[in-house]
Amino acid sequence: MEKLQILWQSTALPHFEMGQIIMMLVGFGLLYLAIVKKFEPLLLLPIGFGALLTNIPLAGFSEVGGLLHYIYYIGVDTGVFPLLIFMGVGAMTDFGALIANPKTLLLGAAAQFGIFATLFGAIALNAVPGFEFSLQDAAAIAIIGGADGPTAIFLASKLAPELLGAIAVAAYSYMALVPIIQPPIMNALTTPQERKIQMNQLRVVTKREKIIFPLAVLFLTILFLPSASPLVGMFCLGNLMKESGVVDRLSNTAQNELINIVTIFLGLAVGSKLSSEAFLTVETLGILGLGAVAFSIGTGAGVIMAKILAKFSKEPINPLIGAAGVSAVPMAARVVNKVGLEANPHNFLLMHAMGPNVAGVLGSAVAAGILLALVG
Amino acid sequence: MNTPTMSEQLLEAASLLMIGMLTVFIFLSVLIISVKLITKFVEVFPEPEATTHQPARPAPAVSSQAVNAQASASVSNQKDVITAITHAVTAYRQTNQPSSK
Repeated sequence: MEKLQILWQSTALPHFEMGQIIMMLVGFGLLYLAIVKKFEPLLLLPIGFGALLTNIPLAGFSEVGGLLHYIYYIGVDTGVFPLLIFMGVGAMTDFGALIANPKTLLLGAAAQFGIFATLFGAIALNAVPGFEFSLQDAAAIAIIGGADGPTAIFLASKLAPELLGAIAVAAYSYMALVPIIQPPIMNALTTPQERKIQMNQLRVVTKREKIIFPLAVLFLTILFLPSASPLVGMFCLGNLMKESGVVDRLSNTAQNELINIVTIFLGLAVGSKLSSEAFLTVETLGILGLGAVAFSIGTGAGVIMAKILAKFSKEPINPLIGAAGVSAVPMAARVVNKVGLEANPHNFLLMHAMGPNVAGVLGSAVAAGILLALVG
Repeated sequence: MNTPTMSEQLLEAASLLMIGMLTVFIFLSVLIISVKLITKFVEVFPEPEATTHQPARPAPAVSSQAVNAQASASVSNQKDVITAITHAVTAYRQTNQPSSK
C-alpha cells in the first residue's frame, strides 16, 4: 500500500496545479494556431511546445539544471539569440527598393510612432487598478508596435525579463495577424482614388550602392546611437555578407541553417517563460491589448506620413505603402500589394512597399536603441 | 497619494515620446542624405572594372586550348556587347535625368 502511495506521488497527477493546466492549454492553443491556422508556425510551434514542457510538474525543465533554463540563460538572457536571428534577417534583406527611393525611410520612421504612443498608453494604463508597469516595462511592451520579433525579445530581455513570455507571444501573434489588422485601418485612412495611384518604376540599384549602404548605416549608428549597434551591427553584417557576394557560404548559413537552429532554441526559451505565475496575470491582458493598439497606431501613422509625403513629392506616392512602415517583413508589404490590387487590378505596389518595409526594420532597431539608451 | 507619481510618469512618457520620435526622424533623415550621397558617389565613380572584369572571369576556368580560343573570342564579343550597352545606358541616363529630378 505504501509502495502504491510512493508510485502515485511520483506521477504528475497529484502535483498538477490549476495554473499549470491552464498554461498547458495555452501551449496547446499556440500549437493549434501554428499547425492548423499556420500563424507564424516557425516560432509559435516551438513556443507552444516550450510552454507544455515548462509546465510539466516534477520535470523541472525551467529550474536550475533543466534544459530550458540553460537554453534561456545562454541565448535569451544574454541577448545572443535575437541578435543571431537579426544577422540572418539582414542576410535575407534586399535594400534595393529603399536605396532607389530613400524618401521611404521617413515612412519607416513615422510607423515607429506606434511604439512611443504605446509607451505613453502603458503608463496611462497604470491608472487602472491591477496594473503597475514601470517605465522599463512600458518600453518593453511598446516595442511590440515595431512588429519585429527579435527586436521585441532583445529589448524585453534587457528591460523587463519577467514580461518576456507575454511580450514575445503578443509580438509574434500580431505579426501573424497583420493581414487582418492592417487593411481596415488602411482603407479607413485613404480614399479609393488615393489607393489607385500608380507609382513610377524604381531605378536599378548598382551593386556598389548595396555594398556601401550597410556600412553607411553602421557608421551612422556608431556615431549617433551606439546603444542600437548590437541590433543594427548584426543586421548590417548579415546584409554585407549577402551583398558583397564574396562570402556566399557564410551568407547562406546565416539565412538558412543558423537562423533555423537559433529559431528552435529561441522558441523553446520563450515558451519556457510561459509559466502560470508569470503569464496568468491582468498584466498579460494589458500587454495583449496594448500590442494591438501599438500595431494599429503604427500602421495609421505610416499611412498619414505617406499622404504628407505625397503632397510634397513630385513623383506620385500611393499612401498605402506607408502601412508597410511597421517592419513585419515581408508580410506588411504583401498586404499593401493586396489592398492596392483590390483598388486597381493593374497596380503592383509590392516593390514600392518593400522600401518602407525594410526602413521599418531599421526604424524599430533605432527605436529600440533609443529606448535602451533612455530607459535601460 | 498615487496621483503625483502618476502624472510624473505620464510626463516622462510624453517626453520619451517626443524625444524618441525626433531622434528616429533625425537619424533616418541623415540616412536619406547619406543614401543620396552614396548614389552620387557611385555615379561619379562608376564601376570601371565591372565591364572588363566580369566577362574575363570564366576564361581562366577553361582548360583546353581550343575552348580557350573560343572563350577569348566570345569574351571580346561580349566586351563589344557590353560597351554598346554601357553607351546606351549612359545616353539614356543623360537624356532622362532632368525629367526624373
